Amino acid sequence: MLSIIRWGGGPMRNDIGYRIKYHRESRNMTQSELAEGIISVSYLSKIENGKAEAPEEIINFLCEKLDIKFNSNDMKNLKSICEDWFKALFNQDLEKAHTLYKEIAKNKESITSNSLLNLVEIHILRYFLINNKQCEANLHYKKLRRLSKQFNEKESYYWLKFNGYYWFSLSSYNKALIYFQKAERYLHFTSYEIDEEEYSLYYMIALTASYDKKARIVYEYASKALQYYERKVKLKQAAECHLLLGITFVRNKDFEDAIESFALAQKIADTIGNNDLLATSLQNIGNLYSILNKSNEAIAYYKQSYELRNTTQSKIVPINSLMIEYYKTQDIKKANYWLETGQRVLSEDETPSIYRYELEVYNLLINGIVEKQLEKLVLNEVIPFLDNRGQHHEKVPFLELLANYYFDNRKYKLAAIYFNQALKIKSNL
Amino acid sequence: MRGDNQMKKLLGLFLALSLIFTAGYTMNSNDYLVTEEDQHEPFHEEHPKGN
Repeated sequence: MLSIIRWGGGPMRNDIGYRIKYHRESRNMTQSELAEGIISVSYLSKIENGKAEAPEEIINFLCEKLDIKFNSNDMKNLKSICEDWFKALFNQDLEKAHTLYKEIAKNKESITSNSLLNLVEIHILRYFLINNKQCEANLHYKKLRRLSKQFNEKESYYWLKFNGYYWFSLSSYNKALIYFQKAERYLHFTSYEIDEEEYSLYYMIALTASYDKKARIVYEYASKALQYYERKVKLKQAAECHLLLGITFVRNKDFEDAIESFALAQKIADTIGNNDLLATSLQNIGNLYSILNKSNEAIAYYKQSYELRNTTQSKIVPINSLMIEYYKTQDIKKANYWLETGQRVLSEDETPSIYRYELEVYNLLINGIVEKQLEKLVLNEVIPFLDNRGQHHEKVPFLELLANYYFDNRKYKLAAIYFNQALKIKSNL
Repeated sequence: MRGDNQMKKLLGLFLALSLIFTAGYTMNSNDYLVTEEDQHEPFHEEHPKGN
């Protein structure tokens, strides 16, 4: 039986009421059961709700009856562990975050500060997300939604920000953007490294807006973040901002500025020896040349980008680009080579993805289409898949492929329907 | 005489309509399409990672 109480007073003192309530409820005790022989039920109720401060002696009795211990020194130590953990999560230091999480999970019941406990619970969502534990994140998200009504401003900031990361991880960029922008309103309630916090949020707003095809927001936030990261000589982050701006310039057909931004990103990536960033820069330069109908240059950049990648997930991006570019130039043999390479790369992973569907569609185009196969694939699988994820703009190339197919087969009415659908999506962008 | 004029008018209309339909049918198929430039979606762009 543990009943060690060393009460230091201070701001944490009021939180003990919430903790008593938490432990009483988790032991399925009623207020009258706990209060019996110590204090009145109404007094206990006031303590639990933070409306009355009980003398140390009474807290001692209540804790003893609940079989919990409270030591203010332990609490201070735990608070500093939690803060280190929050920082490790912010910096995506996975190893440190994991070690500290184990320590916190072991002692979570000893956290007497309600606010700290809320922050820990909120950061657990972030912990699951950066470790790609989507199922755990889904469950924890539901739990947090129930708790969120009682969050103060600081807790609300992290809840809204991690809400953004949560929807981002599910590729629901529109929702993610809404939450990131809501978080921005609470920015000044964060307590430490405010600048870092601010510009990391700006970068996420720009990135999410870019996925959501909102050019003005990308430009505004990526420019602000870029200025800060350049000033602080944070080269990796600056290169990422250049990439976002480059993508936005390409979409606005401002090709000169686009190539300049991509070249800067490429130069920085090369200087700091960051292959991931370099591969992404080269992929985007390849895409730019592809749009300008300079297939030879596009292919050369896609190949360089492919050579730099190590993981299956990232290799598929230039592989599909090479397949499509060769198909565009009607070099069917090479298009087929990259189609087969893509199929091999994705053979171990059955998860549906845009890249898998792209391979399936081009397999039909390269190897011949049996009656209505393309129509079935695009209309019954690809379009519903993209609709479910809210990625309406990604439907355009598939609708245009289908429309062109009908046109080539002299089915002009069907061709017109799908061209029209594609145009409607484009005009909404 | 009046009937002849009407016949001529009808024949002229028929010929004009035939020409329009024939021209529409034999027109280069690319005339119906959106331009090559419009068709290219910047689909293979690649975003940097989140922080």
